[in-house]
Amino acid sequence: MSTAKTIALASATEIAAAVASGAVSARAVTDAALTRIDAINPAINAFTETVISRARAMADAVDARRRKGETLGPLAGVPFAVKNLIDIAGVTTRAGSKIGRDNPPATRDATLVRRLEEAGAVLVGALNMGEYAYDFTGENVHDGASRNPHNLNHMSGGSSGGSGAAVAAGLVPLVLSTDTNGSIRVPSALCGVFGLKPTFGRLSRAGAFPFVTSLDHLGPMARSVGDLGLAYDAMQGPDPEDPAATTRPPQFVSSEIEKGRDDLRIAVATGYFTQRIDADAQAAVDRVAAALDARMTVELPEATRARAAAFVITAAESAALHLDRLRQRAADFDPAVRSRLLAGSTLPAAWVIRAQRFRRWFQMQVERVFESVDVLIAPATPCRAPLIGQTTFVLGGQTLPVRPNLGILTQPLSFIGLPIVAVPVWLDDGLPLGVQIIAAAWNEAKALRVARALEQAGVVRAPIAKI
Amino acid sequence: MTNSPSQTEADRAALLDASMTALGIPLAQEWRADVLMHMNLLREAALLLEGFALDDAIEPAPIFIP
Repeated sequence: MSTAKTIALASATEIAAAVASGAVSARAVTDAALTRIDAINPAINAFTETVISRARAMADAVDARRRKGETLGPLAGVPFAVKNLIDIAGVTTRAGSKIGRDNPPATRDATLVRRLEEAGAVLVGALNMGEYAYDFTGENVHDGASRNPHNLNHMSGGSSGGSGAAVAAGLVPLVLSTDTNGSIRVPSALCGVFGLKPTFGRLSRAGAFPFVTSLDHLGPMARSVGDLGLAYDAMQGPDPEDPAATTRPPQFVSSEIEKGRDDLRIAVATGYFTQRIDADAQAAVDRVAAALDARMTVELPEATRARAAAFVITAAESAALHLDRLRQRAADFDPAVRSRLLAGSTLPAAWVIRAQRFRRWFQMQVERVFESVDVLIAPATPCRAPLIGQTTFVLGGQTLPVRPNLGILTQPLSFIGLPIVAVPVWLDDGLPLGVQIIAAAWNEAKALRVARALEQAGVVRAPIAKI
Repeated sequence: MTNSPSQTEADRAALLDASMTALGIPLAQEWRADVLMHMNLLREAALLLEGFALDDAIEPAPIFIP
């Protein structure tokens, strides 16, 4: 841990401590990260941009503050990157699209980029993603697929595929990403890293290109629970530029994470969450449940309909968002995205509004569930990472398309904005799986406490890929 | 005349053409089959929702505040 090269592979918490103590400079950590990105990114295709001058200037500013004896932020010198739908001043926000590349560069940073840099973190670049975030695979016809660092022939998951790949490959310890129907949790699961999708409204979305404004969330991905908490705390706070941003005071979690899980009532989600998953996904849940001695089970009512409602709302809102682009540049879309947007354009309003009414009903039912439990456990994906290019898989005896069904387990939960930590489980030497640790709204700390207890017990972990 | 939603493939094709015309979206012939397939998936999802009775007092939740 004594050199910049080795510390660039460390956690955000360790890097910030080393930079604050002067054991290593932020500039050296940043240069080591940029060197590693140069060396490894061609194999995994995680980054679409690097911002080298900006990163070095920010790192130098951190080092200058330390030399003056100033107190550094909690993320001092920590390299981070953002999904390429999040605004970086001076960089065109492409949102995984060909069309977006014709836009002028963003004139300022997204709110959460600013907040991470205010905490001392060093932005190094932007990350590959599925076009307009309408994706669970990590594939992209314009930029190429981001590849799973643990096996380059397999999917990274989407839509934040570059995010999952960058963290798993040790290019950066921290990324900022988005999750509408599972886009943080699916790549976290497939790439074997930790991800936090906070409560809807908790983190500002200002400066992030929207997908489905009823459902869009931002959140961090990292290789440790502590790093998720550190980043989450740095990003909380009201923001009048996001109409959905909460005005509740921040609830900081870093001081809560180590409190253990002994007083928490933990249950395993059954029914919908045990159907259409393979034996590996079930084994991952069983392992986590056994480690937590979670013997209670809970069935969320009408989860199949919740997923259906999220599916309808997603198609309708995204189609409306992209209407002008469909009129003018339909041929420039990823065909797999275009088909769904065009189909969404035909939806009767009555179906969309019914889906939004069902959302209200489902949220009320799930609130009742959380009167008797604190945390729920469910698989994050139905299986391990499929092969890149794979279009179908067999689940529960049915042959199903991969692209929509990788997210069937995440979609009903983000639908009602619950905070969820995705934790990586390794059953063997093969690819990882993910398990969702789900809490009631505004209870991120409970989910993170359970995740941390599992991490301490060695049940979940996010090793850097051998690449 | 029926009292429940019903779509044949021809109905969906007609809905697709009418929607594209109404919204001014050009539709290439080679895109149609995929779009119609996705329309059918959406129809199935919507019918699941139609099959679940909701009290009239349940309001939509487009901006969701937990």
